Amino acid sequence: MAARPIVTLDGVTKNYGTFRALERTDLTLAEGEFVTLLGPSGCGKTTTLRLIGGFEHATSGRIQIDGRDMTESAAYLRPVNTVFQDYALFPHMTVAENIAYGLNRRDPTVAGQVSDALDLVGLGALRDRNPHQLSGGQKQRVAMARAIVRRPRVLLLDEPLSALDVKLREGMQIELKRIHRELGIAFLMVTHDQGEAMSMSDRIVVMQSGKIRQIGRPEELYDAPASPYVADFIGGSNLIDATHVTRDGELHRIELAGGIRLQGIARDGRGFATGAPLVAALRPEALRLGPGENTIPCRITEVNFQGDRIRLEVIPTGSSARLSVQVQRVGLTGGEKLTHGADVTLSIAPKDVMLFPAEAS
Amino acid sequence: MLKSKALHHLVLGSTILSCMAGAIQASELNLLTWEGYATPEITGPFEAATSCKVTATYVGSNDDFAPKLAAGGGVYDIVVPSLDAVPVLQQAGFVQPIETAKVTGFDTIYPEFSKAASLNADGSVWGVPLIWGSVSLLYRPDKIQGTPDSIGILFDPAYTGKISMWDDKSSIYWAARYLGYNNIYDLSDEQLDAVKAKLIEQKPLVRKYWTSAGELTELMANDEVYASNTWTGLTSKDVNALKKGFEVVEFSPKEKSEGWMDSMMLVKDTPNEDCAYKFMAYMQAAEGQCAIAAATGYFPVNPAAVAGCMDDAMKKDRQVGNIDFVKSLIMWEQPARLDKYIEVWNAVKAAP
Amino acid sequence: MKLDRRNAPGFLALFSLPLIWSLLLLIVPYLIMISVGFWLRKYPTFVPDFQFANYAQIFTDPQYIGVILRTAKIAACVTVLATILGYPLAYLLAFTVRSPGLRNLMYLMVIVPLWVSYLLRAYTWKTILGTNGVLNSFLQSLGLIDAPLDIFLYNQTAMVITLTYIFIPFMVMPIFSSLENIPRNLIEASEDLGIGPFGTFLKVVLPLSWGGILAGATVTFCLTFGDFVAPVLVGGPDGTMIANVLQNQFGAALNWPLGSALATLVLLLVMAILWLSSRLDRTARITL
Repeated sequence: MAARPIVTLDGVTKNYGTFRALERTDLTLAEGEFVTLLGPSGCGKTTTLRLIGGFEHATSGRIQIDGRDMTESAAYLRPVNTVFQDYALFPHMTVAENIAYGLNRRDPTVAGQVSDALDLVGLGALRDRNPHQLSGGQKQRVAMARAIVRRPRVLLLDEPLSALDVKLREGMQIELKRIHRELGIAFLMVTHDQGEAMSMSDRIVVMQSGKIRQIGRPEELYDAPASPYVADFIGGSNLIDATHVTRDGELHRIELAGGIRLQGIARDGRGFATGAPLVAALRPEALRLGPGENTIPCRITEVNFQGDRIRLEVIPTGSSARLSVQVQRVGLTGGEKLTHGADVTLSIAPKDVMLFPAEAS
Repeated sequence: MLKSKALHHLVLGSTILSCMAGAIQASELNLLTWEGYATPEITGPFEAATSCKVTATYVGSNDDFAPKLAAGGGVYDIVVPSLDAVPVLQQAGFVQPIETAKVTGFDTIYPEFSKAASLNADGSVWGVPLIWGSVSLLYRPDKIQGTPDSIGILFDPAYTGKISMWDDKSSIYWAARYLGYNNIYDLSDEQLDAVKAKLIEQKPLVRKYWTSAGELTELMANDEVYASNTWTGLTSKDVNALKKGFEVVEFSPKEKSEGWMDSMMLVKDTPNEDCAYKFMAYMQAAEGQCAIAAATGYFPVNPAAVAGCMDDAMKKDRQVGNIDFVKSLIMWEQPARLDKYIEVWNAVKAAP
Repeated sequence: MKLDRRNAPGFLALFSLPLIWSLLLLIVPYLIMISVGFWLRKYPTFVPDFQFANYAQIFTDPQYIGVILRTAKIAACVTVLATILGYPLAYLLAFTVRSPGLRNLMYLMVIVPLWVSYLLRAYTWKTILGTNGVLNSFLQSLGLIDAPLDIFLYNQTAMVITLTYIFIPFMVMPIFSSLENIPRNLIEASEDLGIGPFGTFLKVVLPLSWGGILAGATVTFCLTFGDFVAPVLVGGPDGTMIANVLQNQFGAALNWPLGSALATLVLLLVMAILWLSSRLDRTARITL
């Protein structure tokens, strides 16, 4: 990311009364970048977006947009535009009037700009409709067109796809990426859907309880989560309590409840004290049927057929922890006995056993 | 549950019953009359003596009687209109003739009243005189220059916005007399036009047309108006009793005051005829005549009745034995063209 | 089938009761009123007839049209004043007051007067506006006037003030609820699109609260149009409104036929206003 920063949050906090919605936060958004704020509701992602949009004002810290300090600026003075969660189309105006709303009426090029924006979102034929005559996806596109027609330096998208049904959502994801590419401006999107975040973003900002937990490219977050929280939130993980036994170079030996011993790796090659409580994150898709380097004997408690794969719920022998396992059907020989109550042996590569200090969760 | 339901029914039932109670109670007497004519001092002894329960409703104008009776019977037993409103009630068939034999004391009423033409139309007696008085002028000596002696005070631009008049067709009589017309109950169209013009011309001078004695009292007491016509006796007594730091004074203008006399009339087919006759007789006795004269400041119609219950000063003040006083007044009569008069008065009020 | 037959009387009773009720208490009285409008006043009372003299009188004698026009003028003044005063109050309640407790309290303060007797509220203005009233004492204590002014009470201005005060809750309530119903994100969207607060008010808030203004204006106008108490209490000699004339025809004048004709005319006027209002509302809704 050599591009110059377009939005910079410098030590920004936001309190509502005694409630701290956003802890001290630093964040930089580069020109042309697609960044997603990801987290469950109440994590501070929408607050962050609204602080940048100007609908809320920071309790402390500075916000720079396009090189200017806009911490105290009103929303209508900021060179950013927002696509609102439920679109916020003006019900008393047509599609074209909605799009032209933020343009200078005396500008003779308004009509052309509106047409261009409508063409970009593929709604040229609906310009004289009223919002209540549009489908959810069409409203979504009008909201996009209305925001981008003003050529903002940053487009803010607040859960832009959450109100659409699943099928439409996938199409709109591709559409959004296309528009992003064509416009070349920075997009900052808020979502609670990690799949959406991973498929669309250049970088993802994972947030929890008003704090940024990790920032990185989607594959960084998946491969090297900084905490059990991220490991679980991005892609999903089995989080299991463990104790540290020994260290052998890169590898750490740990023991699970029930005496099962595994080898794993720690992020950034960090060390642990012997006997220290740990959390091991095991991705369901990293667990394999059959013995291997790290063998875990289990009993199946649940079998869930999912077409190309099978999801198993298992309990390791001597433990009360539950593990989710995802088995590709392509790799099955047909001899495996995957039924409720059957014993099964699982294994996992040491590099897929991600270790974290227990207090980090 | 059952208990609460039963209670519910009981409450509901008794509510309905109590709402209807007024309609089914026996030995009652319903008066449609003037404020001051049914005070507890008047009705209390009557109720004690007869076990007739008196309920009174008040009117603000003589024009209120006919509409209330026209709205349907069974509500009132006795109405007390002034003489000028008697013919319309009789001719509309709202009242029934009086059997004077049932009204003890009827014979000692001033014959000038009991023999009045309106009360004796069509060979029957239609009303029992109750009380009489005059309509004179009232003013604030501290605000009006000199000593007024004419109706002209009501039309003097020097008191713009400080004049009041009774909201009644009698305003026409006052304006007509100010214009020098003597046939005030039978004005021609031209005369009525002139009266109307005069009253409209007077409007900027008028702060408010009063609709009750209480309202005039309030207007006078609160410095809103300085001169008005008034029911002689009542308002001046009430205003001066408030001790606002000024006194109001009544006077009879050189064009004369107006005179009125209220009579008790029996509503047609009243179910409470017994109580009604008892009440009429009671009001001709010493107790009734003295009580109403005391409560209102007006004059008794039955000199024999008050002989023993008034001292000489009071008798002089209330014109007892001075029936000649009537001749100094212009007694009210029903205008020949009642509808026309009311229409003219309404037109005056509707004018800008 | 057996069940149906058993339920049939119940069904009939269920639906016929409200029908009979509305017929007896609403339709029949109106029909009586309209038909009495064709009767004839004949001293000492009036007689059934079918003739148009009452309507002819209304349209030829200038006093009736004059009073109707005056009533409309006062109703219009009250409506405009109530809008000018009520809108900012409703706006304040809906947008500015953030604390729900304070908002409820303020809303209650708007509503509570409705629970106080109309007469009492009108009378309050008499004591404020009178020659010896609060307003005059206040102006005198400020030294702005030497002697009390009598220009505040017993005129049309006093009526407009009193009626505005009395009916303003009916203006504030619908405007408040229309403002409350405006999604807050529309206002944010407007500001996001570079329009300042005033522009946002003109282009978004005002058009979207039009329905509330219209509803409030219609109710306020019609209530004022039918008022007969304010003229008596605080109006002067030029304060007579159409309801007073009506009252007089049914009272003192004992001319129910003319009164009924006038009442029919007033009913038509009010219906015309309601029709106009719903039409305006509909045209507004088409763009909504």
